[in-house]
Amino acid sequence: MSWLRMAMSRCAAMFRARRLDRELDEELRSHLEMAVEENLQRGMSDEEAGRAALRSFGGVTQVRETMRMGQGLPFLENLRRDFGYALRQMRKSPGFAATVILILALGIGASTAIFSLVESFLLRPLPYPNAERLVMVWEQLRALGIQRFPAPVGDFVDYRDQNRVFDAMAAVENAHFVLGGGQYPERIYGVRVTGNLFSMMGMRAALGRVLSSEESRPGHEFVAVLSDGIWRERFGGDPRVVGRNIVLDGTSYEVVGVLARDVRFSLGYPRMPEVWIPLPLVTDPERRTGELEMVARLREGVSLAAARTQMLGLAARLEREYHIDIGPHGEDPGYRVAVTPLREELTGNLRNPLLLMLGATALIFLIACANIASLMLVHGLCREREFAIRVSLGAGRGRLIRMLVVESGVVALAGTAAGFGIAAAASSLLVRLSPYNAAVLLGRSMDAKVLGFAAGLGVIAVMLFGLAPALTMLRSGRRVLASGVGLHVVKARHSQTMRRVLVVAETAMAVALTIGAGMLIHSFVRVQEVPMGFEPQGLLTAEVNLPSYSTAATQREFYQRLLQKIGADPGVESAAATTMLPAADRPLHDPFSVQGRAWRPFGSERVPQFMNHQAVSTDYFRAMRILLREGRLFTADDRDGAQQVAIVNETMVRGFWPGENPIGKHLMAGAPRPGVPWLTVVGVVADVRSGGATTEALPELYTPMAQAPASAMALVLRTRGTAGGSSAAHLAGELRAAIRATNRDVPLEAVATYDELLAGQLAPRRFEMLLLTAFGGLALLLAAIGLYGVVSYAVTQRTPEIGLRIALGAAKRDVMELILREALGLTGWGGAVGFGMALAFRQMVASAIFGIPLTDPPVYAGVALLLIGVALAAAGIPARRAAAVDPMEALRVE
Amino acid sequence: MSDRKLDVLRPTAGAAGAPMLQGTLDLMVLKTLETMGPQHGYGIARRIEQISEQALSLNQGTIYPALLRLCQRGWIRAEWGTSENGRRARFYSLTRTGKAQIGQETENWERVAATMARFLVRSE
Repeated sequence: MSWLRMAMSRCAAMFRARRLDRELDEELRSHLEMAVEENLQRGMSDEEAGRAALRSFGGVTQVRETMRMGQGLPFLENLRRDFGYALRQMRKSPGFAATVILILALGIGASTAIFSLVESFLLRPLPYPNAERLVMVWEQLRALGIQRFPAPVGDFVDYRDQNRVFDAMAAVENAHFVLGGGQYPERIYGVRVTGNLFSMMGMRAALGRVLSSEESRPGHEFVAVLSDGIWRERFGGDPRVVGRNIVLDGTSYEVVGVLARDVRFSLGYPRMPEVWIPLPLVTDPERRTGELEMVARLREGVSLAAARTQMLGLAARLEREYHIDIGPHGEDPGYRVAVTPLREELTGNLRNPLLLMLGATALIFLIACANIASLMLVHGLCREREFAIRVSLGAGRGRLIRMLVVESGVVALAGTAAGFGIAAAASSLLVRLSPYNAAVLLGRSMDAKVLGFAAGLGVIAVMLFGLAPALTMLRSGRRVLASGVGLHVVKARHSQTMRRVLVVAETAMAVALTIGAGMLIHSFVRVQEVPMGFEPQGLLTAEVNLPSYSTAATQREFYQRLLQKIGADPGVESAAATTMLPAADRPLHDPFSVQGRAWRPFGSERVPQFMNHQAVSTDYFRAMRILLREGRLFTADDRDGAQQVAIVNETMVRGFWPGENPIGKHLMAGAPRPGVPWLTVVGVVADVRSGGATTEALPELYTPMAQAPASAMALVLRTRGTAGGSSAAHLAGELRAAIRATNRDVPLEAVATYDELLAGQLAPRRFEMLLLTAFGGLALLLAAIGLYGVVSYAVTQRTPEIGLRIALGAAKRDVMELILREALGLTGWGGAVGFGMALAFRQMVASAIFGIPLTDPPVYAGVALLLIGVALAAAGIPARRAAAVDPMEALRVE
Repeated sequence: MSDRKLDVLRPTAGAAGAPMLQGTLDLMVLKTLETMGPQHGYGIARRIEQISEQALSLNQGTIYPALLRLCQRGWIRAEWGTSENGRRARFYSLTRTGKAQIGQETENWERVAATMARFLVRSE
């Protein structure tokens, strides 16, 4: 342990340096005085005694130096000195330092900001206790291609009671409630849950209590827990709310608690529930009620695979007992149950885009480092005399390298700090702007891991741009000593070669990145070009929700009166209602039956036998401008009690009546059952991309609202003339008035133009495209700066040569061509390597592109043109300077 | 002979005297403190000169780095005190580990010396 004691004593000495110096001086003085005294006693003269004492002591200064080195930590001593020197260097050339720091800050800032997204969404543990053991359980109908659908209550109870792999299993049912009692009725998002969810997810009440499992027994469910948010907004943060009653959908619930402010809960929804009420666990024999999402916690030591095996066994048993969703003729729908980790459920879809983004910023960072290395090389050339002197004064190789590394380190430190600042600002902005639902779960946005990442990048940066130029400089440094001007050129040429390599590398990476961005841009254009099957421009939408206790008759009457009223507005061309907004709401995936045809998973041309289903008002197709292909649209005669009619889309016809006349055919949702009449097809309309632009059309069934009313419907208003912001706002006001005139307890919400809804659907794609485009632009800019630097320096170096050429009759054009050719040569190499990289890694963007091939010629061609343009712009400035060289002056310099 | 090999015999004495093996001076200091008790730097230097009968022609200054090294190892400790003729001086004394170390170091040295002696006899 003696080395430890030594190290400690040395460290301690660092902090007491001045006192130790003083003590040392005193000790040496007393030594010399004693020696002099003894010499005097031996009879020497004063002068002789002093000289003899010094002689026998040896070199006082030398001893003192040795002692100082021995006392403290010479390494740190030197470091401190180098550090001070580096700061002086920075002050001496502030422009250089600022450039380097800015470039590095951009590189580190971009990387760290994206890393903080990756950290937030992919690395950070979910905010629940034992989060790694939490899983979601979904039912599946594999034969229908349905990978996850919520379970009926009965299935949940069976799974909960019969499994041996989970130590807790909870259910959540999403719901919307009309919250009454306030100035206006308000529709809020809530959940029905089993009481054990709160302990499973570690959610505490700040006031009162959370729900208990007992309250899931029928008859006990009229209690509610509020979220912190709604408690503050709607109830003014009044603690006396506990014990009071609130009205949800016309039913009274007693508030028993308010959740703590830091509670974060989402099973993939973009919002957190405002109100939590008990889920009554009533099993119906048909197993049709309930759409439960099941969350479970694996028993300690039980693997995911084991849980899957057991749950599949249970599922097989359930299917035998209850014949779950068997086709009309006993077909196997492929009933299974899936167990997936909660983390994968919530953020699994973000892995690809986020890693793509992280890869992009890694390239930016490397480009930034290459750029700085190049700048450092030039800067080093200016300091060759200084290095020569240092070498000649006996500075060792290691000592010089250390000095250079410290200088780079100081710059890197400043760049890292600035980069971290950029990242801190950008990452909270990014998390806020990110269209990902999982953002609901995020509390803080920066942490030690992110800080560590930035610091790590700083260290890597020093190694990349600090050490390499240092070594190059040193190699020549020893020779420089002997040289006059001659070696200068040799050395300059050597480092210029290295800079060219760096520029080629930068260009290559920038090109690869720009191609990636181009692929996303082109995909985005393609997505927007997809014909949706209806005309979103000029459509205004809104949601209306009648209290769920209203009867079919009142619902029908309400919507018909409302449509009449708003349809009379001069700004409205046609008004309609529908249960689902295509491409904005998630389409249904319901199995259906066709009369006279056995149920099979797929019809002709692999059209699946499950469909989207909408109940619509008479004017829906006119308002949406969906084209009628055959038969007729709905009319006022398709009313309750008349023949039950249906309109289908072209995909339905193609899949189930190919080559036949579909008019007059019969079908129905689900399996045929007694007492439920078949629907008669009266018309065929064009396909609509109900699942959004990137999803193929499903078979679709439209039924008249008059024959199958619903409490919650969306309104679509085709507006006249310009559907600008003012008329939209005006119409929203009219709509609100019309609703209040019809029934003052009904809330109106989510008023938006259809274009806004579609933009919301494309938000993740847009977000990824914009980020990658920004990175591509940044990369090109950095590469351009690098190219400019190299060409500009080359022009300076070659000024005498250029002067000679001009003196010998070269035209300005020739000179410019000479310079530009060199620049384009470098760019060409970079471009070629970059194209190679893009081709090699093209699989990385595969998940993000749409409607274009993996190797998209327009993108490659566009990037090539862009690259040439950027290169000409970057090299053009020095080329023009070269052409303007005054031959007399240039030659005189030589 | 290359530069590197010379390093083994790092001279701690002045240029005039014979080069000393690393550790020789340390042992001398330790031994001096053992026989004389607490002593200041000058006293230690004089004592070593006297014992070695000028054979080493030690530069007195070189014992200070040795003293520092021994302090850092924790074998000796230093305290300010007053010398026999009333001068303020730093007095060095053996610590417990230092005392224990003397035996060890002596043994080491004797082994080296014996090996050297055997070597010289055989080679003759």
